[in-house]
Amino acid sequence: MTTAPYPWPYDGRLDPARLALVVVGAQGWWAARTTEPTVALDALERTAKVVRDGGGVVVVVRRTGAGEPVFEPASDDLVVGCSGMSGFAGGPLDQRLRALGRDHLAVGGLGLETAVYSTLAAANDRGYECLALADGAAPHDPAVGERALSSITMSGGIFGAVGTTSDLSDLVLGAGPGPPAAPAAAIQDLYRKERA
Amino acid sequence: MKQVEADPYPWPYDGPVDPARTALVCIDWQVDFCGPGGYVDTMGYDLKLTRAGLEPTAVVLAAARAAGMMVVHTREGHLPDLSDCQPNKLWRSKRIGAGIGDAGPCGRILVKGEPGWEIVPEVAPIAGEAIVDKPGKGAFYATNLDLLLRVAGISHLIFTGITTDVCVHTTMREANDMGYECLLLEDCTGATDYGNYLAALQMVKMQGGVFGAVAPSSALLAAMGAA
Repeated sequence: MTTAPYPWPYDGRLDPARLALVVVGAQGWWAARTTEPTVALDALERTAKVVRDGGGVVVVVRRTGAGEPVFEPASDDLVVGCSGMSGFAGGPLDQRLRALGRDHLAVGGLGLETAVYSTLAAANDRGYECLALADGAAPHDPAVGERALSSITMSGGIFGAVGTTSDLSDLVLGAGPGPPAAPAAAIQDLYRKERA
Repeated sequence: MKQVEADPYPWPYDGPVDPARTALVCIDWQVDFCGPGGYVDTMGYDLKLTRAGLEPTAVVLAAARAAGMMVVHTREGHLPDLSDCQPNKLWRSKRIGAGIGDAGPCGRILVKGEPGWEIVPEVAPIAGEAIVDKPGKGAFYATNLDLLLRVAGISHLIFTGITTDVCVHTTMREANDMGYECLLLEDCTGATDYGNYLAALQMVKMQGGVFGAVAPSSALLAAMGAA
């Protein structure tokens, strides 16, 4: 596992039933303003298939007025709208993820420094355990994009961890039978007891 | 008042600075982020980087107060029993050796009421200024900030604070998504990594000002006639 700064997710073996692959910015506005968008989209396409087959859900977030979709959802994928750079702005993303019990998010798409970073920051505040997909997120400017990834990993993973779409696929494929990730509340209880 | 000479466009987009509709938002100028013995210091980062904006921010604060501008201070912190701290946030902080709630030289790290949680004296709030306590990085999530600003008739926000790429960016991005017209003062902010600070400024300005505009505080003071 090569995710940084810690093996993702923080709470143990990934449970695909709690995983959503969230694709943001996959529309014309970003496609015209990012570096090699098709490379990121192809990588997302490949890992999306693994996620779907492995029991994860794929969520495609589309911003009102941001142009033609450039990522084709499968029939079981969820498509939700938003009205800002963050996929959580002005739309039902948070509610839909909660209803589906998906609290582990892998985030990719077009606009690493814009849509992806905003969505990651908002998701992190809402308690989602996030993995930013470095090769599945097309930057506007590769040098700035590198820094965006660096910011995510600072302070022990301030917004979560950074990995690749292959890392994500490996995690889903390797999930198999085994002890499920500890529920978040149980981990917090553990810390409370430790302090008491 | 005039428009601010900002990058990539004169700020705000809709005319001269209007103190009645503009708030100065000071993000997380707490001991935990820029004081010796606080959270950022405990993680081993260079405090000079997060303290760099203190002096210019104090000057801007004085000008904003003189102009009758609304001033909002934010603080990141958690309840003493950490019941409002996300478990992954707690886990990550412990893993890096600066556990939220653990005892440090400035009291329990990132816990409300502890010395480390207080805003540093250089830019401390004065009576009548709004203080918003937040459990996360963004100042809008799980707080009453949007309500406070709307009630006060605020549509324009000027940002100072730390850290640029985390709490300032998260808040400014939320604000921009909500329709606030935003300006970031480049010498009134800092990050735990200088290159990431510079990139965070760049991210605001890309694509014609995707999250607003960036200016030195001198340009704001000049526009306010306070230089």
